[in-house]
Amino acid sequence: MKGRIASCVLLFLLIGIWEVLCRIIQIPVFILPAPSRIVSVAIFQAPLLAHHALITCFEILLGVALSVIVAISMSILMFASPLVEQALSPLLIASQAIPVFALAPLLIIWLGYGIWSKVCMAALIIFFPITVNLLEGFKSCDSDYDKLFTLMGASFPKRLRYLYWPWALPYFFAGLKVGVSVATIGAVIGEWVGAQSGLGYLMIQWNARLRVDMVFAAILWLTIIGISLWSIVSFLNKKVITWNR
Amino acid sequence: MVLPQKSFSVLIGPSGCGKTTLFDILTGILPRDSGSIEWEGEQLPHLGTKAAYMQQKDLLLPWLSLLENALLPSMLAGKKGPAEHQRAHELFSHFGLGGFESYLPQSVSGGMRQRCALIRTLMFEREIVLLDEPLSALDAITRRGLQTYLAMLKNQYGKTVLMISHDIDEALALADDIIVLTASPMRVQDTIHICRPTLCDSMAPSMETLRCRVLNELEAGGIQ
Repeated sequence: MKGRIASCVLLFLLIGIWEVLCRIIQIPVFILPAPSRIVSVAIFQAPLLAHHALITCFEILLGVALSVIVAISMSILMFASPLVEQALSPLLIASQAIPVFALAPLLIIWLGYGIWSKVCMAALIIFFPITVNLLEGFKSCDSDYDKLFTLMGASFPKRLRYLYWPWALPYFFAGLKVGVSVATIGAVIGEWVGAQSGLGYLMIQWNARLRVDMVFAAILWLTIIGISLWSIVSFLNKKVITWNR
Repeated sequence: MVLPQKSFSVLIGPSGCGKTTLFDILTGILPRDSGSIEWEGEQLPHLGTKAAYMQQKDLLLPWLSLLENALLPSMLAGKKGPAEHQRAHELFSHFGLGGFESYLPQSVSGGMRQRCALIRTLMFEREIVLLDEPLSALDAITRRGLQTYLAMLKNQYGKTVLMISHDIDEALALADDIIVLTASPMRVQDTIHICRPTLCDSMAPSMETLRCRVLNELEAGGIQ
């Protein structure tokens, strides 16, 4: 609780310094608007921002769903077969070594200006931390439990259901938390490169008109989306994992 | 090494001599490169299908209730019928865990967790029970209480028990036979038969001679 209070105090302190500096130095609005102006724009333009935020949110959520399916399948396959792990590991690392910006135009060409190119962008960013964490979780299972399950004659699917999956769940949620925190990056980059809606699209439009206050308002909404998703995953984590190891 | 049927034998030997490895070989977890295993006149590659194995740690799954943990061998064998549930409930009652079936392992004491692990071992429904220092992680008082439950394995459930222990008093209190092992490479140094009708107090004077004999054999077998 003390940590949260300290975090809030620090945040308000930084915003306060920003506000005071903007007013004293009289920085032009098209360069750096004051926080009070950003908040008022974010509120007064709420219907427009909310409409585009919903689209971005939808892209992110679809990206999360897609990445979770891919990450779970990949990590199980890699865990079940060392050969598959050796074969997939370089590809997995390569997928993160290539900058997302470089892939965005290609995805737009392949998947069009619609929602799916942004969903793929988000999924591409999210799936990596989930896969790596989940695989690490499976591998961290205590070998004595493995011995016990061998004695009980448990097949791999049964081990997965009763042992490996619950064992790796905290790792899965840790990966998912990281994934949803950065998911906005993928969706917004996709919207920057080519879109007709979404907060990224709005940011590009308003940036061209030097409406920096509107750009900041969109960033504020994106931040709220990111924090909300993180909070939802944290809540689910607490609800699902009720045990201590 | 000979295990009489429906007897309680305790293996005592120096650390690192290979007691747990022996259990791993007996259960088929590790391959055997020499020797032979025979049960009821039948040569077997291992005792995997005949023996239940309880390891040092209780190994209860923290996400399952005590009852679900006890039922795990049945669940994995595809048996989830009322008969298994009834048997588990009976065992919970016999082992003093009645009313704790729905508790998660983290909510109960170390002794209760160990009793639950013992119930799970019995749910294997195998003739032989291998126990690898099942009480070593517990305090002296809890350990003494649990010895009664270990004795039940042979006396009430008719199991053939082979237990690893480092505690001579515990061995004297429970065993029909104490098998003293040498340091690596492990051999049977001596088998000491404990002749008594029922479980008795390990501190009784008559046990003192046996305790000395076990200690002498351990020293002769290479323990410093």
